Amino acid sequence: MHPHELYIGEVFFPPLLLDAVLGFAAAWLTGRLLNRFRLSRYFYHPPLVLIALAVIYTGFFSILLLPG
Amino acid sequence: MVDRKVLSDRAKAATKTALAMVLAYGIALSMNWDNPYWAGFAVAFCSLSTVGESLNKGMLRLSGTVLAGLAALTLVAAFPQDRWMFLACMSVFIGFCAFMMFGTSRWYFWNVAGFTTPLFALAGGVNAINDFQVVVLRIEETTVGVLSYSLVWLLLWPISSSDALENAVRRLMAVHRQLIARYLTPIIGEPHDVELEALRREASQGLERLAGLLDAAELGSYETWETHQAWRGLIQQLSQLVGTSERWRQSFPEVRQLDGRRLMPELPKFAAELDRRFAEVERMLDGHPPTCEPALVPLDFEENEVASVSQFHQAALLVYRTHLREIDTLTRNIFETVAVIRNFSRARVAPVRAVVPFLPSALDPERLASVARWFVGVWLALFISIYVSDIPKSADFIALTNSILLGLCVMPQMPIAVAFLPYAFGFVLGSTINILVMPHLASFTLLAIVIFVAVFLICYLFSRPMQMLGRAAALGLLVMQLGVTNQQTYNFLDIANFAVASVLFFLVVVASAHFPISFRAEHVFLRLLARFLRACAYLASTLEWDHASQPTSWQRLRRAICLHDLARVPGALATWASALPPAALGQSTAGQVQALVDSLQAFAYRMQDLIEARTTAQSQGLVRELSAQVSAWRTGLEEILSNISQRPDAADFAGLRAQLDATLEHMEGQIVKAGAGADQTSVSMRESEDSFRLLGALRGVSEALVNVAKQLRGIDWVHLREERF
Repeated sequence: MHPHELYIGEVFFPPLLLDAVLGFAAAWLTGRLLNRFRLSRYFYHPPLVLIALAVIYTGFFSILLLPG
Repeated sequence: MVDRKVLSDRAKAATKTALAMVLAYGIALSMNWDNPYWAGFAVAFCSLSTVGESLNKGMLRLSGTVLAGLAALTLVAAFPQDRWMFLACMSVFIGFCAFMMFGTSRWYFWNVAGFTTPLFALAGGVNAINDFQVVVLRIEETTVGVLSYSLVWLLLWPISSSDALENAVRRLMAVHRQLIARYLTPIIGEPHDVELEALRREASQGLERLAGLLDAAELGSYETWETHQAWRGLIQQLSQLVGTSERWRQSFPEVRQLDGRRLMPELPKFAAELDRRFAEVERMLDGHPPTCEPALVPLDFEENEVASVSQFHQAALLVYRTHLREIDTLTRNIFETVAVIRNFSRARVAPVRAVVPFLPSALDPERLASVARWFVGVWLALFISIYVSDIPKSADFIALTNSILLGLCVMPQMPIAVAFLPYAFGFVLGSTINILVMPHLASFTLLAIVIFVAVFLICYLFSRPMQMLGRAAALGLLVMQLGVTNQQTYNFLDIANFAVASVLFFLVVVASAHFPISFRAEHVFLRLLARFLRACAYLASTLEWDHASQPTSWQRLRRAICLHDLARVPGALATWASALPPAALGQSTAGQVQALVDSLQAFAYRMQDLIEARTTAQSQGLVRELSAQVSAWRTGLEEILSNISQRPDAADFAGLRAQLDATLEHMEGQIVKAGAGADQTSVSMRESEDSFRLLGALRGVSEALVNVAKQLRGIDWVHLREERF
């Protein structure tokens, strides 16, 4: 697999940037869903969990969806 | 000039800001100064509704900039090669500025000093000699910005600051006149209607604005400056009147069943006198001399009638009358101060010196938490900039993080999401103009039109007072993204980098709201509630202190801190209650939370009454008879407060009511016995009154506590405590 970049017009972006954006969006959505079903009360410190989720999702996307 | 009816106030304010911005840019560009947008910043952040207000804020900005310049140059000179010492000392200085912003109407001075220091320190780049030029240039351009909007504000639809101050005072007098009349009309029954609530809210909100309006009017009008001591005295008297009226209102329930007219025959005359006094004050504010001086109404009791009611009702009546006498003194002082302001009296008004105990205020945990939040956020930004390679626009990233976190120290309850939309709007508008419009402009006239339209649009869209912060953010971003200079260059990369830096800075600000101290509304609310109840429990324990023995220094300090909490925390709780999200409220409503806050405020007033009454000399006979009862009551109160502070959801309203009623009934029996057995000649009238006041205060605290317990039951604690993302 060769490293590659994303580009809009003539501006190039690293794929990790998009992975991170998607990762944060997915973590935020997961947080909302957990709030909605009142499952967030089972976590000791939800903001820390949110960061962990964002990192996990970003890693997941960078491996499977948009590898660098 | 355009007719008043053609343009709304909103359009006028937007036009003035836009014109001032164009003027500031015009001067800065014609002087060939670098970074002319600094002049635009002064206009963006300082323009307020009146000349004096804007000028006052401009002066604070200017003096803050000078202090920041001195600090930055000193730091650069002291640590030219030592990065960590430089950053540590700079953060100590900015942390000090953040700390000093609390509890002063001139907080903007410290705010500007705090956020400008890293701008100066980092703007010079690798060459430290540039720093001096940057400081001088920034001061020059800030002055140009302040002068530009002052000129526009003076010439175009001027709004006088002294008129704004006088109108606010006039309105406040009218509100107090109505409030006191309505409190007294049904003699002692409290009509709990919506209009009365609105009047009370207006009284406290109106008072909050006065200090700022006076600061502005002192600069905007020579007449106000000449009488500023009297104005400050008037504001202090009005503040005392608000507090005393509230404490008086809290004493209504205990005397509700009594016939006020029968017990105090002069009460209607007193009501008429107060009404007349307020009417005379309003008359003087309108510029007319008073028709008569305040008259004396003694408010004596009808002794035979008073003797027929219970001892506790007698005590409650004494408390009620004490408050009325305080209101009498305060309104008389207000009358005299307004007469001095309007030159109808030559009496001398003593200079006002607000005595705020330093240590309790300095050790306020929420104040320290705000500074800690700033510290964590800024150091996070610094570490990211230093250790993550190729962070775009790192200087802007640090400066933006620092300035927003300093702003949040003053308004910690504001969710960062509120500022995001105006920030994004200003950024997109500024970037679009920079990339798509500015390359086609050939003269300053065309640029001026573009700047005017963009600034007008932002000021018009974000015109409400609540949107002030958003408007400043949008204008600031617009000015930054336009990046107007005499040698204009265009670079899309600058904009893309700034967008990435903005994302980073929002992430840092959001992170600092959760680590290490949470600033979520529900967490702060619970924290403040527990702190308030703990403070009350400690103060209840200090009631035991013997007048003869001196408490230790630590006990005195702790008591001062708890008294500070008693006075300040209910106000902070009200602010945070309004910021609670619907998910945290659960089954309870915003009205129920507000009712809880009101009951805590009432309890605070009652505790203050009790602490004051405790300091007076008591009849030794009554003290002897009631010592055991009062001690049992105090221990019970301390225990209840400790329990509630740990588990507010466990407050047993019915049990508490029964327990306190039983204690009070028992106490009443003891008083009757003591009264019958005491040698009346050995007890002075004053001591006797003070003892009854103390008993009235004890009863007041009991009633207020029962009400707090009742309100606590209405809160959905499960949802309020529940952790959420």
